[in-house]
Amino acid sequence: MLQLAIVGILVSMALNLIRACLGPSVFDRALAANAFATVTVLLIALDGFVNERPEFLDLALVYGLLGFVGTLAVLRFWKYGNLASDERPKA
Amino acid sequence: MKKSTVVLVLLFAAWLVWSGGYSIPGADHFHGLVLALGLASCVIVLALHARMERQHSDRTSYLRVLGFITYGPWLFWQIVLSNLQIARVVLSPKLPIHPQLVRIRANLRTDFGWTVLANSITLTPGTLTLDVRNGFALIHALTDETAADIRSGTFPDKVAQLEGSPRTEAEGPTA
Amino acid sequence: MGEALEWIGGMMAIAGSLFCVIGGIGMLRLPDFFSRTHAASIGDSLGAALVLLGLVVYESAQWFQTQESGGSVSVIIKLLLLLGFIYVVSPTATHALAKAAFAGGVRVDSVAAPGSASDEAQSNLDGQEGSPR
Repeated sequence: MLQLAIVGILVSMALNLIRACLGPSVFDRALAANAFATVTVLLIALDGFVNERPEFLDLALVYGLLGFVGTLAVLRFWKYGNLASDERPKA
Repeated sequence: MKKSTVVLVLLFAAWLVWSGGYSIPGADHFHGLVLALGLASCVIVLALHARMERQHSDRTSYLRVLGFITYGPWLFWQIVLSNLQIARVVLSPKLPIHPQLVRIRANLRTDFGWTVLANSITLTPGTLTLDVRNGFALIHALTDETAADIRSGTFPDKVAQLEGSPRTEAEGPTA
Repeated sequence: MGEALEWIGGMMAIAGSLFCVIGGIGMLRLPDFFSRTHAASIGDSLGAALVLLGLVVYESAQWFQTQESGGSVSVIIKLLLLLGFIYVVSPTATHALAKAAFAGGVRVDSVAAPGSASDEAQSNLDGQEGSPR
């Protein structure tokens, strides 16, 4: 049962990955990466249950946090050109 | 002061659930140390929280969260309905989408209310909050149906109930 | 009782993964960025909810079979907290993306029929510069 669900999740991850590769804009890629991160959280949770190691839920939570922070970091980098200051470079 | 005590208790409860470190088998002397370290990390987080509160404070009572007992199931049902709707749109061969921008008005007092409104709208597939300012929300809708749903103004009414504000309709027609 | 619950939980997880696949199909099929965000939120909302609630049911089935609560209560609490976390964080990330794209000049696809007044709504909000809420 849960193995079937994992197969579905993997298919969804592949579709999101194709969109991340196709683009065309940076936002499409970031959106696909964000959706990919959410689905990966589900994959980790399911994997923990299949292998009867529910501690994987902790990893799932950390991965979710990383995905969120990563998306915001990409957006910030895109907007300001660096991650530290609010000033746009005077290019 | 009362508020920070509540935050501390909630933080420590969350720490207890996630760590599991308080029950290391065969290492009883760790017990006190691990608990103390957990408590210390909660206090550090509380200090950071207090620093953020000084920057920007929203005087919403934490008891507002109790409103989610009724709001949560309603929102979840909306999410289920619009999920089925959008899934049908995505899977149908003709792809009958009609993207459009809708501007709705909401009579909410607190940042908490606006956050809940914008996040609920975004969480529901078919509608997406682009911007919120001056008592209006700019929303991207995927199809005519979802646009009509969002125009009918049930979302702002429900959030106003959660917030304890008067209903939006008293203010005038929704845009 | 336990086996029926296990079956229901597995079915919910499979249904959730199907919604994730539908979201992925939408990501590929829909033509512009803002439409794709809707497809992404299918997987984020009902997909995540069905998978995680399915795991909650699955875990409570184990509880019925072995008659001892053990770690399963904390597992269920963790699953529900994970679901709540996803429900708070994923619309925030989507909104941040959409707002950045909107400000960055990604066009809302203008198949808009007369009456929906996309441009009007856009200029109205931009015209009223005030304290951002």
